[in-house]
Amino acid sequence: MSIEELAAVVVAACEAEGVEHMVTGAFATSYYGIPRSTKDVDVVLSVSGGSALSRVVARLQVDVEFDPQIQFDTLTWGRRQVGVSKHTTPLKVELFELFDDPFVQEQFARRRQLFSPSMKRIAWLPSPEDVIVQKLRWGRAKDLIDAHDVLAVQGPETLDMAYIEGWCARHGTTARLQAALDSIPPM
Amino acid sequence: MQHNVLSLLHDNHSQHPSRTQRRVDEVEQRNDRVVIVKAVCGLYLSPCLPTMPTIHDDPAALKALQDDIYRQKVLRARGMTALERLAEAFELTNSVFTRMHEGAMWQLGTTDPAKGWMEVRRRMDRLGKANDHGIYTTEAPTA
Repeated sequence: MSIEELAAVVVAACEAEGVEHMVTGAFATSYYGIPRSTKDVDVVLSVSGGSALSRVVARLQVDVEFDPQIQFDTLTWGRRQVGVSKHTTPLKVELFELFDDPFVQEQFARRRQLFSPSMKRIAWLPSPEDVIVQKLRWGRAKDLIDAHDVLAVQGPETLDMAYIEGWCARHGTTARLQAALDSIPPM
Repeated sequence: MQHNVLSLLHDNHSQHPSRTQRRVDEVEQRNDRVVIVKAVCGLYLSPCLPTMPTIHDDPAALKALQDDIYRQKVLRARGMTALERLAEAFELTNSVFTRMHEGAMWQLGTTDPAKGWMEVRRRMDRLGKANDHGIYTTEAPTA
């Protein structure tokens, strides 16, 4: 099963269970930045409580083997459930529960719809500004590269920089934003 | 004629300390054969390799080259539609897994694709654990 087929299966499961979603990770950074490979399909689900998430997981059981153990990220304590494709290519599926973090809530509210011919489905992605803010917030080496790439490809002149700067100030990541902007060569 | 690469490197280090420092992490002499164990950029230097100037000797030129390469990547991405970029990410991902599978089969010396995929799965599992270390936990946050 290809990555786009797996993503389509995950999005279809969300739709079937009436769960709103937002595809993040490399899908979003490639859409707005420089295309890169990935090893997983990252999806944020608007679910409260465990039942909706469990229904999505159950619907995916044919294609994905999920770890029953819920995990928490140590930055925001968001919850995620991780699975691996049962098909030959061991791609991962990471489902993140939408939670009450102000930025995550706003990011989800601002998400954008797209139709992907590759996936043959409608999917929802975060805005480019929110991808940048999120990546700078996480701050791992690969996140900073992703943020840099989206800034470079989109161009600060086309982005809502006031929005980005506002969130970076709240997250304490203004220096990371400035470093990313400073290192973009003149185009 | 035997070459003593250690002395060559020492001489080189005296002349170009920063260059040698960057390129060679560790040198090991075993019996009469000299082996460069690890070298930055994956280069295995031969004792006979002449010392040639490279762009790494000129930080300004190196930065200009790096910027030019990055600029080409950005301009290429800008020349694509967002959906084309997404489709390319899919293509890259599928291609990377195919290459990993081929590499695993070659390393295992097997012609059985299933064994190759099992090895890729094992490697991805290890990679995932390494990447998640310190980032994700199964312990619920304390209030």
